[in-house]
Parts: sequence; C-alpha cells; structure tokens
Amino acid sequence: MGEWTAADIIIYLFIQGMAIGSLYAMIALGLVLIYRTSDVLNFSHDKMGMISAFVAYVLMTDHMPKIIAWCRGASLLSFLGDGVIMGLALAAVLALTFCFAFLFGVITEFFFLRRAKNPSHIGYIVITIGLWLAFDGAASWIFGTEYLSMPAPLADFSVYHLGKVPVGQLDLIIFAATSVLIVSLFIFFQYTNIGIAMRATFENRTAARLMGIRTRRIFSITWGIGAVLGAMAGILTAARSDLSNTMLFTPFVKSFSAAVLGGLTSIPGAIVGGWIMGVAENFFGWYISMKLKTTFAFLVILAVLLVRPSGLLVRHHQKKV
Amino acid sequence: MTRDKDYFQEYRIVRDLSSRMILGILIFGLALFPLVSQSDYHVFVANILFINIIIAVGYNIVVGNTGLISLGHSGFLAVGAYASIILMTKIGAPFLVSVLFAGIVTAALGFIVGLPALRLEGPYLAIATLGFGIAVEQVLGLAKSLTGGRDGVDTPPYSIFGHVMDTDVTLGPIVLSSEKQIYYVILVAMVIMTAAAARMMKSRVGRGFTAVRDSAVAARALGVNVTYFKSLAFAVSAFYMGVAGSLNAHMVNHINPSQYGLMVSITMVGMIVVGGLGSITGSIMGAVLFTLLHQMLAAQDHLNAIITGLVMVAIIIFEPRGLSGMWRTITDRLLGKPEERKI
Repeated sequence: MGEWTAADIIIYLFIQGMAIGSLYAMIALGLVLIYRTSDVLNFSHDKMGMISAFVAYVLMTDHMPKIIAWCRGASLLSFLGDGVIMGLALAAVLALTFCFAFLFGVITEFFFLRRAKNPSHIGYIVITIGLWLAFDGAASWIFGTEYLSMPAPLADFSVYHLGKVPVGQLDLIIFAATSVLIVSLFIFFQYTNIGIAMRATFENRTAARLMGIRTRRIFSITWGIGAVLGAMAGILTAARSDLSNTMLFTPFVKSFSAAVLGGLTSIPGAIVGGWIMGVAENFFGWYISMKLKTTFAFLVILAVLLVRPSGLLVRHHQKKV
Repeated sequence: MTRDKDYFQEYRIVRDLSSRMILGILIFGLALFPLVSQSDYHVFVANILFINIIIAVGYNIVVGNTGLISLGHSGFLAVGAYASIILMTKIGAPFLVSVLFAGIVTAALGFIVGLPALRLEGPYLAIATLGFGIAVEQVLGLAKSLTGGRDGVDTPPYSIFGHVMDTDVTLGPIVLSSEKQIYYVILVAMVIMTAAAARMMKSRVGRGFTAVRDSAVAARALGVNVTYFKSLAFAVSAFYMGVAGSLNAHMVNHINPSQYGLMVSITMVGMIVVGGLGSITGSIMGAVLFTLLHQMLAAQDHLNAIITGLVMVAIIIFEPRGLSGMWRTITDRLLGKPEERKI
C-alpha cells in the first residue's frame, strides 16, 4: 500500500465522515420532520429505528427462503439469475420493513402523542422519553441484547480504491440512498398534495386546518415518514457496524447536534448539519481525540446554541408571546 | 387585631395542622425503623430511597418549579460523587466537609451549565443538557489520574467526627450495623434538604422560580430578574445532586463513570413526572414508587424499563399532575373541600 500522504488521509477522513454524516442526516431528518410538523422532539427516534432494523434482520434470517420463493413465483421471471432474485428479495424485505416502520410511527403518534391533551414541551419530551424506555425494554426482551451482524446481502461489502484510499461499497450505497432521499423529499414537498399540506401545517397549524387540511392526519403521516427515515438509518448503521439495541444511541445524540446545527426546523439544514457533523467529528477524532467524539458533539451543540441558536440555515424566528 | 377567616383559610389551617402532625409521626417512625428492622438489606433499600428523595426534590426544583427541562443531571451526580471522593482520598478532608464541598462544587458547575439555559428553551435545553450528561461521563472516564478512569475508584466509607462507619457499633442492647449508622446520616440529610426545599418554595425565591416557569416575559415585566432565577435554579438543584451523589458514592464502596449514564437522568424525569411536577410530596411519592419498582424488578431489567416508560406516558396523558395530584383530589374529596374556584 505504501505510505499515505496527508492528502490521502484528508480524503479518507472526508469520505468516511460524509458516509457517517449521511446516516446522521437521515436520523436528523426524521427528527426535524416530526419536530417541525407536530412540535414534538422525538427522543424515542433511535429506538424506533433500531426496532425496525431488527425487524429487517428477523425477516432476513428467518423468512428469507419464503420471500425468495415468493419473489420467484410472483415475478413470473423464474428464468432470471439468482442474483436478480436475491436483489428482488432484498427489495421486498426493505419494503416490508419500511411498511412496518411507517405503521410503527403512525401507531405511536396515534396511541401515545395524540392522547395527550394540550401538554407542554416538557410533557411531550416526557412522553417520548417514556417511549424510549418502553421501546428499549421491549426490544431487549424480544430481540436480546447481544451484538449481531446483518445477514448475507447486507454484509461483506467489497472495498474499492480511490488511489490509495479505500472506499467501501456500503459507503457508496449510503451516498446513493441519501441522494435518492434528497431528490424524493424535494419532489414530495414541492409537488405532492401531502407534502404541500405538511409544509402548510408547519407554517400555521390553525390556518392549515381552516383551509381543510386534516392536520391530525398530517401528524400521523409525518411520524410514519420520520420512522421510515429512522429505519433506513438503522438498517444502514447495522450493516456498517453491528446490530444491537444500543447501536443507534450515539449516532442519535450526534444527529441531535446535526439537527440543532441546521436549526431544528429546516430540512436542508438537517442534511447539511449531518454532513458537517460527520466530517468534523471524523477530523476531530483523528487529529485530537477519538474517545471524546461525543463530547465534541456536545460542544458543537453548545457553540451553535450560544452563537446562533436558530441554526445555520434558518432565519431567526422570534417567539411570539 | 382579629380578622375573619373565610372557609378556605380555615380549611388550610386544619390541613396544615394535620399534615404537620402526620409529618412528625412519620419522621419519628423513620428514626425508629433501623432499631426494629432485622434485615440490613431493608435498611440499605431505605438508604437508596432517601438518596432518591434528595435527587427527586432537587431535580424538581429545576424542572417542576422553574420549568427548565434538564436531561444532564446525572452529570451533576457524577461530579458530586467524584468531587467528594477526590477530596477525601487525595487531600484527606473529613467526610462531612467533603459532602458539603461536593455540593458546592456541583452548584458552581450547575450555575455555569445554567448559563446557556438563559437563552435556550424547551427541547433545545433538553438536547444541550443531554449532551452535557454524556460529556461528563466521557471526561470522567478519561481523566485517569484523578478518577481512576473507566474501571472506577474505591470510595472511602462514611465517617463522622473521626468515627468510621464500617463496623458494627454496640450501644447497650442495640447493635447498629454499618448500614444502620449510614441510615441516620442520610435520614438527617434528607429531612434537612427536603425541609429546606419546602421552605424555599414558599419564599421569594420559590415564587421567582414559579414566575419564570409560568411566563418568563411576564415575570420580567414585573421586575423579576429572570436571568438570576434561572441560574439559581440550576445551581440549587445541582447542589442537591452533588450532596446526593456523594452520599451515594460513599455508601456503595465502588463507583465508575458508566453508572452515571442517561438512564439515571431518565429515572429522575420519571420520578418527578410520575410523582408530580413542582410538588415536594410528589417528588417523595415518585422516589418511593421508583425505588420500590426498581428493587422488585431488579432481576428483570426490560420489564422494569417497559413498566416505567409506560407509566410515564400514562401519567402525562391521564393525570399530568402526577400521583400527588391524584392524592390531592382524593384527600380534598374526603375532607369535604368544595371545588376550587376556577378563574
């Protein structure tokens, strides 16, 4: 391999940082979507993503033959190679997982958040913290607490080389997923009725309801979408390292700082914030201290909140009394 | 000069008298408890309970009374614990001095952490303090020379006026084990700190906290120094954490940074929310419930988490005033108090 030059190291750290940052961005996006629509900062977001990742794991380890057979039968394309069928099966697993995550989000909103009558910010935070605990307990009960690795199609990724710098196939997949996500979110919020209704709900809930938007249904849908984003991040994080019931917690804390960096209500802000966090903490870890990475995230939160509380990409929003 | 009292004032006198009597009997009973208790384990649980009461009362000051949500109070507990251990082992200060010092150091830190709280609200503050708690845990794990790092550190036992409380003491027919001696120290600390909090909440300071919680803008317009009261709330509550942290550390022989994780802060939130925000009775009720729940379900961690979590959610949904609110409704009904006048 030979010696790495300083430029190689920087490129390496940057690519890795962008990959991790994209995962932060996905989590932060879910948080921000939920927060800006329904005013709830979802502290149970990481547990929801983790549970969805476990659902994908269970589907892939226990039910894969069934799904493959089903894909083979349903697609009427049995002449296709095994690789294609495997791809279809993976797509089916992901689709099932995302359906689960969407329902999970909707049900959580419907049964727990909606029941609370006019709670304060503290009330909302307490509800989601309670859910965090309950989900954590339920997950460790059902799925156990050991570290698992994702099964075949989501493991053993090949590594490419850019000069001397290794680039994992999974990181490329993450970049692709993030790009698709950004484009589809843009289309969703610009051109679909639900997306526009969501934006309207964020701008002014009362006015939106007066215009005939079913804001409560919008809340449910937002929670569903947020949970799907969490599930994506969960599956990719599990594929990148391990699957366990605590795997998303540290990324979750960092995506908090990503979201705060972007202003907590801004969708582009969450994505850019995630990237900045990922790259910055990678450089911090390499050049200063690996063990203080989470502390670094805290310092970023503090600095942003003290210097520019409204975040990098949001115009200052004065609270009305 | 005599003044006619209306029904509500008379009702309050009856209530105050009866509750004071009940309180006196209760404390007397608590003082007798180790003498009749056969099992050191029960005394140990009671010690944990009293420490949890100090924690809940202190935490309620900042969250319930002042309305600033903090998810980083586990960090204060850790700082308090390590401050008093370091002072006792490295400098050789007496135990009581160390406990007090731990409280003061933590209060100073709380004041500093409270500074961002001046500008942050609701969820932002929750995130910032969450980060603080995690940062404290990490830093303590790294500062090996002072704290012993991730492996933790052995803690010196309780000692008062040169008497080290790690052996049995025989007073005539009574044998006081180490747990039972510690019990009295913690009981005294708990009673003093709870009484101080109750007193504070009825004073100018307590009303200042409430004013800040209910509307910072209105409070400022009426001449309440919002900045001062927010920092003060953090400092006072951190003082409680510091004392509780050091009392706990010296009781358990060995501590390490990972004991002060997010779970501790979440338990605090649970205690005061389930007990009742902004109510001292509520803090105590929450501490009792959570300590017992934790002891009963110690073997089943996940069940403990599920039950605790769902109880927190249910309380916010069905009775946001918590157990103390329920208790109040029940006693008001029983004592025949008429409905509160609604404004």
